[in-house]
Amino acid sequence: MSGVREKLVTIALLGTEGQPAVEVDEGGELGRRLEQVLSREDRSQEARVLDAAALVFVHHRAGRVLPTSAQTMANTGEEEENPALGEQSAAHLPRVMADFPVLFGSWLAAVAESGARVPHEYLPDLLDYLANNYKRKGNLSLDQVETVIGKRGLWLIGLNPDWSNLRAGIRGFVSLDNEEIFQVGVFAERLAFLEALRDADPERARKMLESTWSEEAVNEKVGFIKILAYNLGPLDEPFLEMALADKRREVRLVAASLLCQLPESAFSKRMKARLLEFVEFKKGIFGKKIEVNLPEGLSADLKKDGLSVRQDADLGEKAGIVMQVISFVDPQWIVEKSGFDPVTLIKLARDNEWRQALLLGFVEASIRHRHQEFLEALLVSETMLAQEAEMFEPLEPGGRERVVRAWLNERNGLLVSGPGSYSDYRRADFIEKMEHGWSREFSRSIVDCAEKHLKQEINMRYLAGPVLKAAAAFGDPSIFESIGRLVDAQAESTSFDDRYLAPAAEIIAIRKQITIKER
Amino acid sequence: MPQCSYSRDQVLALAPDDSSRKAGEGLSTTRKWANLASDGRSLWGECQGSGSRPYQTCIDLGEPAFKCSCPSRKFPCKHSLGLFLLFAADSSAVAEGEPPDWVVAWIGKRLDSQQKKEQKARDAADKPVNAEAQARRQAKRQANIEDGLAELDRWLCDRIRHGLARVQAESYEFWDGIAARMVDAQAPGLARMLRQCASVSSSGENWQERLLERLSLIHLAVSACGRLDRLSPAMQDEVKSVLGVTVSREEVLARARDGSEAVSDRWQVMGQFIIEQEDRLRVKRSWLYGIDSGKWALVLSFAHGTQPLDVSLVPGFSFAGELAYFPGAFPLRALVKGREPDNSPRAAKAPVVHDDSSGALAGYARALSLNPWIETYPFAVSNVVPVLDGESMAFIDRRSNLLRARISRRNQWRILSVSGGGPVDVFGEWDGDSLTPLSVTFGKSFLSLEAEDAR
Repeated sequence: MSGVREKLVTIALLGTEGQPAVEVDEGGELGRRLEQVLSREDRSQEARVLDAAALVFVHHRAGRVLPTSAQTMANTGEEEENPALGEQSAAHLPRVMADFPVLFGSWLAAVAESGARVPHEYLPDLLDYLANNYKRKGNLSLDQVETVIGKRGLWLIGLNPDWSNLRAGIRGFVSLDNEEIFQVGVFAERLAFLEALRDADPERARKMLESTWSEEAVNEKVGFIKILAYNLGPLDEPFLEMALADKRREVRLVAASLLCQLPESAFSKRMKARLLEFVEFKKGIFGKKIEVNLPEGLSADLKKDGLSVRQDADLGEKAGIVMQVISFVDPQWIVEKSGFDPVTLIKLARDNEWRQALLLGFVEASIRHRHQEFLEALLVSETMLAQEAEMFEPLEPGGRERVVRAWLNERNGLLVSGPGSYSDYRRADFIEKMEHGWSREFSRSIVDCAEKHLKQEINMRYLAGPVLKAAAAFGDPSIFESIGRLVDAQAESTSFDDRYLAPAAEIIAIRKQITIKER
Repeated sequence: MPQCSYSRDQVLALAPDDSSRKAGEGLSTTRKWANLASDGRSLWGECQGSGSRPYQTCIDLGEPAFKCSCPSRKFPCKHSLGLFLLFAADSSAVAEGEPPDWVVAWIGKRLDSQQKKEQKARDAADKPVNAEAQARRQAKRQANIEDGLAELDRWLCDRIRHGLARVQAESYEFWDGIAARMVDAQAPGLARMLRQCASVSSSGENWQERLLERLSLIHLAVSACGRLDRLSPAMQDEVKSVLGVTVSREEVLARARDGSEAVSDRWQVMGQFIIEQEDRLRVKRSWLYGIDSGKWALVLSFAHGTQPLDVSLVPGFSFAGELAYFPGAFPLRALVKGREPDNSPRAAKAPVVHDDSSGALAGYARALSLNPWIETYPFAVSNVVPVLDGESMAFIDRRSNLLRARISRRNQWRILSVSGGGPVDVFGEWDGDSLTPLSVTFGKSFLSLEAEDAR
């Protein structure tokens, strides 16, 4: 603040009451004018202060000089290689993100395939969207992302910490030559570097992690060690054995999960031996049978291998140990060792006294080892309803379609056998998440299912909405017409709110435009 | 083949709200339309809605203006938006044709009403006034204002006598009381400035400086009123406008007819934003720049509640036409008096107004020297590089001057993204301290920023 302004503010703040007349010492034109204003006999002391203030403030504003800065923005320096999407095609993006996220995958794929990139002004919204979704799902194709965001997008990701989680998967982003980033970077950068390195050179990645392991914060250890799941190999065993003794339970559990996926590891062998000790698969004269011999309790050895007293599964301590041991053994090994296929194993487990321990063990083992046949058999058997979502997730597209069709067959083509069965209703969510390109047959059966639901009572009828929406987004184009017919028929009926089905028609319209325009 | 000179974004900017925007997009497909055609001046089509007869939708492309036979109270309705979007996206989808009767009728009616409006304004200007009654009314108002101002003068001097330190502890009611008195005295402009003081006194560091500045400007207006007869006519108008004495539309147009306060030019819409005031009043501020005259103009349009706002000025576009300025020492506020029936082509590039910030600052200083009460001033600087400084953004011109910007996070990143770290042209409102960007131009592209979320 300049001298005269400061002085006037101080006077105004304290008040002129009992103060001497204001005098300022200011040169030049402003000083001359101020003197005029302050010496006016016809004005009160207060009015003179206000007059002088108006003069000084306006003078200051009018003469404002901007600060200078040596700061420059690091220019991208790189020209885009790909052409920008046309205005019309780019305009799909905000709509897809805001209203039809189910279409995001196909939008991304179509644009990436066309070799075009998103116009620059759309990038911040797109990166926000990707950063939020990638955190949640991790199933985006980052190669496609890289094409679509172009050089400018990579540049922005580098600048904005909010988008740093995107740095992880994007190859163009992480330079493996710059090892220093792993020593000095923030967590997201280090994670990105480690992931990229693990991809390129698994050995070097693990050694790098080993070199800083003892210094890592507990929270970050979990994130780092999970990266070893990529390109996991026998050479990782000593490090994982060491991590098995970590102070933190989460770290121990990840280490155990990884070790059990190495068939020749000492850990795997220990678990298999325990399995054979606790569980017997018998082919007797009275039929096939599973016999469970409960262990004594949680021994130090078991604890060391990551087992604990599980409170969550509604099991006693000993049954819990059996469950956990099964969960660490590759289901394929169980199938081979027992000579029973998954369907048989599940059936025998259902009839067993220790049903919950056996089934839950199978569930966790199948998820951990992503054993497709087992996951499919468990889901079709409809025994472990609480774990369905977890099991559905690692299932591959073909298996997912077979499972859903099996469920529909059980219910005369309907998704829900009757009002009130919560787990049935939840399966509509699974269908909405089947983001692969659906087969013709599966697409057909889903449309048929929706049509059947439309003939049901209101509390079952509304399921047609989400199901058709998914069919419109991922279904085979051969069903577009049928969907259109259903939507139109609903729009004419007055008994049912047509807004429920309308999104399906809109999705088809956008999908057609995306694929036609972009390809 | 008819051509559309509006971009999709510009059409979307016309939507009254988000849901209309979405609904319009849903209708922007040829599947929904029949008898779609254009004759260059207007665009029309029929859209099958839920009723038995299709809705007839027509757009006057010149302004643009909309007409639809649907019962929607939103304006423009989703049909108009859908039709316009369709045309903006793919003008080849629209055939060239002769307008059907209902289109001709509507366009005709529009021309009629325009002429009538002008006639009415002319009549109003020519109407003999009852001089005596008017003088009586004015004298009464004058006395009322004078009483109010005398009271305000005493009130202001009391604040300075007792010191502003005491004011800080006062509640909003303290300011509202004197502001209400100014409303009674028919000086709503001063009332608004006084109410602003309430928030200034609790606005953190340096509040005392900002408060004294406001109070001194209010006092300056009060003093100026005391010697109004010794001021130039333009300054008299300016002081009245600070007091909040309104000048009617008709009066502005009538003055413009004399030629003195009207400017014909090609006007570029540099930026726009909407502010919501109390009582659900929305004000759309559109800044125009005269490409040949180099004059600035601020066009305000108002809407209450769900009333639609005027949509005829689209950022990034220009039109040839005549503006009528409100009287004042440094006229900025204006009305669009008339526009030529052209198609508002998008300018190839925004005009370069100043190529570094010193030119813009000099313009601001000139404006302040004529009108010390200016609160925001249009600032257009070319070739500035946006830089991030922690949470905030600034623009650096070619002489390394740093212009601080007030802007939302989303818009910061949008600007950075289009700039790629290189120079852009920025336009915004300057408040004497920082810039609120309203648009950014880079190459041939134009990015309009919604400034409301930064405020």
